[in-house]
Amino acid sequence: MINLWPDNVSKEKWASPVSLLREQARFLGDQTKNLVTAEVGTASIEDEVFLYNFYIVAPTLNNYHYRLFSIEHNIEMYPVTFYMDEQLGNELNAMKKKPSNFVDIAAAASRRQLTEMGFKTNHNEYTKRADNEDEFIKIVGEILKSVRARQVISSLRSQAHAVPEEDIPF
Amino acid sequence: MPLISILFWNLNKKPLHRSIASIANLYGVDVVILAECEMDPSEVLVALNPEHSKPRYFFAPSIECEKIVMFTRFPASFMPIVMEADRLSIRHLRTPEMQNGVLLASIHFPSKLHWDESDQAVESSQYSSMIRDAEDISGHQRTIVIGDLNMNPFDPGIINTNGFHAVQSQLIAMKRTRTVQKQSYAFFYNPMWNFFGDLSSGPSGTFYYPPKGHASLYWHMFDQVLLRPDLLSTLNADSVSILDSDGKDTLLNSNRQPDSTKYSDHLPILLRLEI
Repeated sequence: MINLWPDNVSKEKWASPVSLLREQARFLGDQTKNLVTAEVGTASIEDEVFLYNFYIVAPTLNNYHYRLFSIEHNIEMYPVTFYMDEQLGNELNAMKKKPSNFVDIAAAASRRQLTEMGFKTNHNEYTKRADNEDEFIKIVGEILKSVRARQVISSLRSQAHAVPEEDIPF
Repeated sequence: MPLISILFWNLNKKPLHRSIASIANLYGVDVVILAECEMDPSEVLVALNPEHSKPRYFFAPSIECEKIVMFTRFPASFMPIVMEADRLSIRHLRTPEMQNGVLLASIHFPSKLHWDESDQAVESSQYSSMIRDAEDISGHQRTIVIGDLNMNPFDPGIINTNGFHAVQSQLIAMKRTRTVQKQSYAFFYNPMWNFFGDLSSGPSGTFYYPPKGHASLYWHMFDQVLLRPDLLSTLNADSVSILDSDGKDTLLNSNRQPDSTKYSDHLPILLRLEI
């Protein structure tokens, strides 16, 4: 039987949204001595819909995970829908939108699983959309530079390595 | 083949983060395993990742193992937990550079202060069983045991077939199993036998306990490395060492015994394998 696939079927490679997020996740530890890191978790892959969660993690605080945002896309990768909480959504002028049924189910399942594992969860009431890779990178940059992200990282960083009072010079 | 370097140290509850960082930096340690560590992990992590340089070490959180603390020179995702108990953590270690993964079983075994030889022998059969289960799950027997076993290499818990079944000869270990009463038992190789006495270089053990009665060993080899035969091809004369210095200061007192005043009453052990 002859091979009917095109010669270059596996040669075309695109930078997927999740791979871009994983690259960014690696950078956070560099700036925090790995006291606070970031992780991308696969929330679900079902019926050609891919859902990923981007966590800020404090490994030394009982491996505390804070879900900063989620992304959802189908097999074509773009457009990507970002889901985030109210505070981040307001900061980024995101649209308040009830998530799709699928995301409700996936998020609920994800929340139950994460709660059982001791992860903190938050709601995904606000959304933004990226139609292509450039827009995706722009929105990721806005999220990572946001006041909300910095608050979470700073809070976890200071709790992870609490400075004894006698070391504070004032 | 890449060299993987693993350090184990029972800290005796002392804040030795600077010494740990010094040893880790000196030997390029990939996995730091600590027992009796009462420091907050963040304190150790900050010492391992000094200012003005790219952080190299990550904290590898445990789920069930409270007696052992681990740091790795790669994300903890390269060393996922296979199985844990309160004093035992079995992880599968495989970095992108390694051809094959290994199972790393870190142990802080119950001590002779509270348990007698029989208790330890029974308990070691439980640990040995968990290690075999982990090997079944992982589909291989490239297993390293490292830790404070609170037993000497000749104690029943270490040599018994249903304990660790660890022998002092590589030739014997390479037979892989021994059959007793129609039951087959897999070997570990125990390189720690080589360090007894003072004709071998370095300290004569990892823990010093002066005599109270008529019979005393003085030096004990409680901190040990055991290797399955599948890893013996990666072993050479320098693969295992008992450290008596942190690279800046000696860990020994003037009597050449562990300086438990300034440091720990245990000496650290270092394993380096090309995997």
